[in-house]
Amino acid sequence: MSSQWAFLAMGIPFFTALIMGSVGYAAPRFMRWIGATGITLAVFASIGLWSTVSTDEYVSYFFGGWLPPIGIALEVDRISALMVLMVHGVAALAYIFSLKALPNELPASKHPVYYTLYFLLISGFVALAVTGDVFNVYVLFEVCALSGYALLAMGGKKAYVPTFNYVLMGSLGACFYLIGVGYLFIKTGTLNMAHLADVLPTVFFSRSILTAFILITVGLFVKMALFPFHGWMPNVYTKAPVSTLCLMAPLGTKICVYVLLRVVGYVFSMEYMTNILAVQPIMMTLATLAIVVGTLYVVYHRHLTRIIMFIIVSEIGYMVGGIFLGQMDSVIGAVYHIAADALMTVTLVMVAGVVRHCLGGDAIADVAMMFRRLPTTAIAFVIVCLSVIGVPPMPGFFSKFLLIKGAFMSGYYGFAVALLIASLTAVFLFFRFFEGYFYMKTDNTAPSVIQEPWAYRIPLVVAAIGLVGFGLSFSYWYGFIKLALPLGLA
Amino acid sequence: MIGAMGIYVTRSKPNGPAISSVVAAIALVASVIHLMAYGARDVVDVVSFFPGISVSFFCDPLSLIFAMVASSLWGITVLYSVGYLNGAHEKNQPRFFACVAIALGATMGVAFSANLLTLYIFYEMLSLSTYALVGHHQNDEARVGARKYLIYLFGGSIGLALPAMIAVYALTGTLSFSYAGILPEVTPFPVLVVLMIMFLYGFAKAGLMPFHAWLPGAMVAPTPVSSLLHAVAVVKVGVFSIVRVITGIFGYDLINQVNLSQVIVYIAAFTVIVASLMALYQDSLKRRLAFSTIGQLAYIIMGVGLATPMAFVGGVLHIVMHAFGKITLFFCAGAIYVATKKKYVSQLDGIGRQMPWTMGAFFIGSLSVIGLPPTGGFISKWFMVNGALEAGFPVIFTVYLISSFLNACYFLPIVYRAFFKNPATMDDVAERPLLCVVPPVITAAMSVVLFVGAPFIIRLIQGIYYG
Amino acid sequence: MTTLSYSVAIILMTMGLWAMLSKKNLIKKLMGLAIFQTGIILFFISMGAKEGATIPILDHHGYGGIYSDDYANPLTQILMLTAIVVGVATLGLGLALARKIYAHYGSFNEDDILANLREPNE
Repeated sequence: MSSQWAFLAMGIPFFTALIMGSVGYAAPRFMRWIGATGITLAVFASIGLWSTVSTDEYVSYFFGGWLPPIGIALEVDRISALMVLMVHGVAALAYIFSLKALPNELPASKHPVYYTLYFLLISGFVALAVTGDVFNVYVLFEVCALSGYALLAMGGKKAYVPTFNYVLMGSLGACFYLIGVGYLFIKTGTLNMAHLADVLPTVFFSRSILTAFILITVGLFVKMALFPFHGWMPNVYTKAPVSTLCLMAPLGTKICVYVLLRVVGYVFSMEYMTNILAVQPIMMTLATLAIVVGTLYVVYHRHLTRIIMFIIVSEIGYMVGGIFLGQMDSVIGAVYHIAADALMTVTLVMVAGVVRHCLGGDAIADVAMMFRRLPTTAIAFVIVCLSVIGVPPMPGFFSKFLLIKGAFMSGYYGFAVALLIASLTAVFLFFRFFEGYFYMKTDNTAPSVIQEPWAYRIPLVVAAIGLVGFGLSFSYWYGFIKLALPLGLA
Repeated sequence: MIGAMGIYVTRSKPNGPAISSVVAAIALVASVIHLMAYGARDVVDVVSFFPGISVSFFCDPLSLIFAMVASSLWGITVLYSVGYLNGAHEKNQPRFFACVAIALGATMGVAFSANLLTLYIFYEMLSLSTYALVGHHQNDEARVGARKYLIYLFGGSIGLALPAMIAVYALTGTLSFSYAGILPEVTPFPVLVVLMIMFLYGFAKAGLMPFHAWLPGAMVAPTPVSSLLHAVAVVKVGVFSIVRVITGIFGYDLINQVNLSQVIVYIAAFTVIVASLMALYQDSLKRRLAFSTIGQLAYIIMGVGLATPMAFVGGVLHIVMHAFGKITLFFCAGAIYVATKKKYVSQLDGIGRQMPWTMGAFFIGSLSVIGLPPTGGFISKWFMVNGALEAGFPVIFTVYLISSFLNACYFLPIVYRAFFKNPATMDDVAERPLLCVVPPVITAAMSVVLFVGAPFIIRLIQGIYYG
Repeated sequence: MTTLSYSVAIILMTMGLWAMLSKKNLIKKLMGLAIFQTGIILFFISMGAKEGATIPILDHHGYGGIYSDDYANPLTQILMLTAIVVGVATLGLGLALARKIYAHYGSFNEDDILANLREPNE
């Protein structure tokens, strides 16, 4: 049974998508219950998977019983289990949120299509986390991307052009990745990750492998919107429906970072990256630049949704930097941050969505009104801001702590400084909102408190509590992640 | 002991207005006394994150002294705030009291922190809670002051103290305070100097120049805030953090070995002189007090940084003495403002005759800050000056003397004005309200009592140094 | 022979990439994407090809033994079957979007669209 969890975690949302597609038109009334059942079961599956890897450390599932390298395998270690948990957790929050948010944005006739794609996207994300095959990664990228494009384009006519650009960029990134996989296949004749990791060291010095490494990393960078490939992301996300954003913004880029870790850390191995290629300085420069540039844009923009997008750009820099630092602690920090940041981003996006729907805009002044009119949202916002800033004991603090420590140990002081600058900016960003409220001219016609609908309030509260809990349970996660790290880390 | 800890965290954060604050203050003082009686040096881990990183508390004489000062003055301040806020017709009182209570809770947290991380957490909590207090008036002036406050404090703590803390962790693998010091002796000298400077400026609440500018800016806050937070809790937390870092992270052995004192002492000495000179030119009473505070804080750091038994005792003692002295002065400034709306030194002619109790307290407070008997300030300064000689820093000895002279120069004229000059106009001004007058008198009396009671505290502190 | 097919693959990829990045017309961009993907497909197929081998379908049910040298590597072909499906889907989606854009802006030219797109509030 235990190995089935891996399949279930992926399969449940997939079949939910199919059922949605067929039942949705016939009986729209049942739709939200089907979705709720699907997402609940999926969360259970991911918890099952998590508890299994807690004891067994490793779960493999072979489709049709074919063993690799011939068959297709799902391979779940602790890190992927954490990712699955993250995807389903965030998806559950986003789903509840969308129940209320979606009717505000799309006519009911489109809901069946929307939810079909929605669950397809979720299953794509999960599959990315558990797959053990480099070619499957490509296919799943496209599964995610295709359903994602469609979901984003539902944002209306403003969303068309950015989404079109995203289609081009996303396909380009995926194609680069695919060519890279081709080079790997030429040299090794296998596509299975574990098998590749065994074979690759014998051909480390081949030029094909170098080419493969470059193409794969560049392709992934485009997909995850690492600076300077980030151009497509802010535009397309800000125009999308909020309910799509809740799913895409936290997970879309994060899961690519996870794939990067898989490919760099497990397939190519850290040793190849640091000692043979010596690309670490370049990668660290990129990561540092991503943080700095993202931070600068954050200061420059005045709309919450846009600000969130550039926070994501700089957070991607954190994680990529953490992976390429190649220290044990920094990689743990990066993995931890993937999950922490997913939770933070989903909360921020939900806050932005609530503010947009209830107060009619997401400029700084509107957001500031939130402190007076939407108390629950405001509390969630404060908590997530503390985490973005990195105030202990929020999760943002610990990942930053580990990353900075790693940067010190390996001598990349620039990266440490960039992290600190990002924190400082986050402080001022938050206080810009807070000041907007605190010094607001009070007039007598002060509007009253708005009670958020339950579909908004529940996910917000759960996400905020989850953030605090995730931070407080840090020592558990530290030990949990540590056992699944790639070899060769100091 | 854990039970007593619980009291801090829960009781020190009431949401209600003044009364519950008073109750909580009394409970807090009682539990600190309780701790004093049964205090053990146990470390209590609340949450452990990973090896060497946890939220944990412990209790030693240093934390007890600090907690005692902060909690007892809190009680008095609450009384005073009631008088002041009603007298000055301030708005949003519940928020005010809640924030003060949270700030005090954070201060207690700092006092009992057993490692740098815990200290840092509560340090940040304090910054956040006092932000709302500094900006209490919610006008443009408050906005500027509060923004400056934030920039300096967070800039320091995130930009300097946090990386320094992480560097310490990377070097040693732990952050727990230990009087033996935790940094290995082989650490290269430049690294030590850089770390030390990062800590000194990183805890910007201590107001070392040039990271001092937030303090005068924060004087836009209502006076009870200025007095409690900016004479006692906030700035002393900064100093206390630095003391903890010097004694608990670096350790006196290491500091003496590589002669790190020089770095600390000269930075502080510069601040002492410059701040005292600047205080001379301030006409706003509260700003003058603020600059005086900056100078006095640097005294403490200087004393602790000298790294001799005498100077250490003097430095820690000065935390206590200066707290009582300075809070008296702030209370008086506030009382004057409530009664007369006067904010400037030049307006104070003859006010001593109308408000004899207030100005009498002011006189005693300034004696204590200058360091003249029969007030507590004399004793702490005596120890520090002797410590400077003992450590072989004649320059610092001179600095102490010069700055004491300067202190006298900027305080005594106020007293002179108040009592001996004839006022320009004879307003009908009287002492009022009662709750604004009694607290400064109490604290002034405490300054005198501490002169007598100092040996008790000195014994406690010596216990730290030798224990 | 193989060098030739690889060269063609590389030329196709470069062409496609160039069209995607430098052409202003949205349809041409999509064509570029299609050409790019065709290049990749050719690249993969060339990988599995062998001199003198035939398509990997066993028609004689193992009489006289099966020699892997007689057949092209089926794996790459299977992979590309998937890639073609993905490519078609992407292209279809891109075309649908392009149609929507045309309906709304009345042009396929990127510059015209961008000129229309500027809004005062963002």
